[in-house]
Amino acid sequence: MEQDLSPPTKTLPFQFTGNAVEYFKIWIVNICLSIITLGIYSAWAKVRTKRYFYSNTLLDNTSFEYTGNPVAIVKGRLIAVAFLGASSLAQRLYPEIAFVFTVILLIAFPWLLVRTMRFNARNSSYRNLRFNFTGTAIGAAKVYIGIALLVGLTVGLLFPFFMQRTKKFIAENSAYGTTTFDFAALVKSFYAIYLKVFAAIALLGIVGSVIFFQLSHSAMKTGAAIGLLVWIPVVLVFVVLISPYLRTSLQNLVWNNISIAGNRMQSSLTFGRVAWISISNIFAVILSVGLLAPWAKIRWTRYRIQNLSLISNVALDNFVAAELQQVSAMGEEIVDMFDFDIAL
Amino acid sequence: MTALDAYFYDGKTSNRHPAYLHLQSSGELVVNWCDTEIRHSLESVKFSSRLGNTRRLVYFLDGSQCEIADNDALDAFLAQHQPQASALAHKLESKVIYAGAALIITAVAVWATIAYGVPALARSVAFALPANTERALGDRVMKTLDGFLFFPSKLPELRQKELKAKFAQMVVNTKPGAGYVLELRESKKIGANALALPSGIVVMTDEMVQLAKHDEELVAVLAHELGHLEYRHGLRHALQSSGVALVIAAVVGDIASTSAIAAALPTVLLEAKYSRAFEIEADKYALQYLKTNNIPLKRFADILSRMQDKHSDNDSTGFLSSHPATKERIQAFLNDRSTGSNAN
Ligand SMILES: [Zn+2]
Repeated sequence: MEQDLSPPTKTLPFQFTGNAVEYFKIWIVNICLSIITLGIYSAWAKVRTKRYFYSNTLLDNTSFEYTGNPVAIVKGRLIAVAFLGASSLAQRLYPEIAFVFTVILLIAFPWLLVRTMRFNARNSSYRNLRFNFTGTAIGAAKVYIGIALLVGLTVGLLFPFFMQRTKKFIAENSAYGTTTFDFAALVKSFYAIYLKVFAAIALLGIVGSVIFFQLSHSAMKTGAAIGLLVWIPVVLVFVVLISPYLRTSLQNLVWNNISIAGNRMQSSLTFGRVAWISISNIFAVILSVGLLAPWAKIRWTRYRIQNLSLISNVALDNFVAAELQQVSAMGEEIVDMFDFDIAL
Repeated sequence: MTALDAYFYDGKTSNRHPAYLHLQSSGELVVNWCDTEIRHSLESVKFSSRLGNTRRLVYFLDGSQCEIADNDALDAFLAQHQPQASALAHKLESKVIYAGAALIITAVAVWATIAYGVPALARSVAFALPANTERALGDRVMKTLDGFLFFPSKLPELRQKELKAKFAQMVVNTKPGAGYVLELRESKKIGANALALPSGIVVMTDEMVQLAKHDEELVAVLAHELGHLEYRHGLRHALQSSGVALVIAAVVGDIASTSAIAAALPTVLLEAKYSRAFEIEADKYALQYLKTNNIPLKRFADILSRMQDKHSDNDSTGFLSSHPATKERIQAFLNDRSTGSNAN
């Protein structure tokens, strides 16, 4: 009975308000300042870029907010550089202990991954309420090392399963305020997508090698010329068909299966549009020697966001802030000390 | 005073309230939402810096927030009451003239890096790497070419031995362990030519041997190829190409994105510039070699001009790859008077 009293569902579209000219100026100034400061400004540039894209994403007429601190990013990069430096130095001076660094990296990898996800989630907010990420390093290790190893052992047969588990790990450990997200995409849906892709790649490979074989035996052209004749179309088919298909179907599958407190996400990308946007973007960026890269990024983001909506059956007003926002400044500082963004 | 339209968020829930912000002449900021009125001293309030035309946030001490869409109104409001310290980035990002200046600086910096930085770095890396780094690469190239371009030499056995012995004598003074060898091949496709493979193999075609009117001409050609090997041009070329791709990717965007890859494609245009620089370097090596061994410099000029006559419409990738410069190269040898005595 109570179910019937729930308010009717409402579709809230996401909007994207960024524009290419505005972003171009931000982009070029960011690059220029990063060059002049020998890379130091790039952390600030990264934050401004993220802020630009978050703040231009609106849901129900409220923008998202990115609050990442550039200093935390600099810190993360310094740690990464120090580690790389130490490991390459060790490689030269004491090659016999160099493997220690690989072991450290392997052990630290899940932890770093979780930290980075947490940094990004906690620095994203909507309506002055932060997102959160509660995944543990052990949970990440199970997926990103355990299942990844199984993928290797089964020669890729488990790859779709791995993809499903990574998306599930990220979604189910993410929260808005205290409310966690739910992820309902099934393993078989991932297999359905990847089977088509694998079949297409196999077909492409067979057709490519047959043509290659034929041409090379007619001995009309040199090896390099035949290689180009065959592999350029193969790469084109990949760019024109397979990659947009994968982008479209994965994006739709993942978003359509994410929900939070009964509010469902909906993504309605279409293959044709995705293919057209990605191909024309590639050509625009090549022909403009990179100058149209900001335009391409805005265009792709706009398409992606404008086709995303939230099917909501409860008001968006009742999500509650997580405990951690009330912890003392001391607690915040300790958390901050270990929070950094390793993504370069 | 005019009021600013805003949304108010308390920071504890995702509740949203339409609100108004007033600034009083006393320097107090008054926030009105629902039936509530809260006063904040202006010093206790922080404003997010302007970024494009994205929404601005006003942060209050208690963790609550106001979101304001009208940037110009907020800026006018702030200009009256608070000198702006953090707006420098926005100033740079919003004016076309600064964006233009940033574009020019970036273009010059990227060009300088690609034209000078990357080659210099590739050079020091290549010389630091052990001599057999590129061996596998070169061996693979030789195997591929042997089926397509190269066929066993038809020169008399004795002549082949003689040339090989000559080359072996030439490399006596090169660094030990380099393992340079001369291979002779017949190749109708590339005609009179010689090339140096990264593995230390110099290939000279029968056609080249027949074109020469004096063995010293062949020595000159071999000295040029030896220059390619001694300066490790094969490895440096590979390093430079990947270095350029990296620079472009770092500037244009995240390394993984397609736009970065797309932007790196025009760098194939740089190949010509890079290989010309290598040819000049190898020519210098040959020049030096001829001088030390009292071989007239005109031998190299002779064989070069004879090759050019033969190849005038051939754009093969070997000895004469930098076509337009051939005349200059010949001139460089004819004009060299720095050691007058040998150039008889
Ligand atoms: Zn050469």
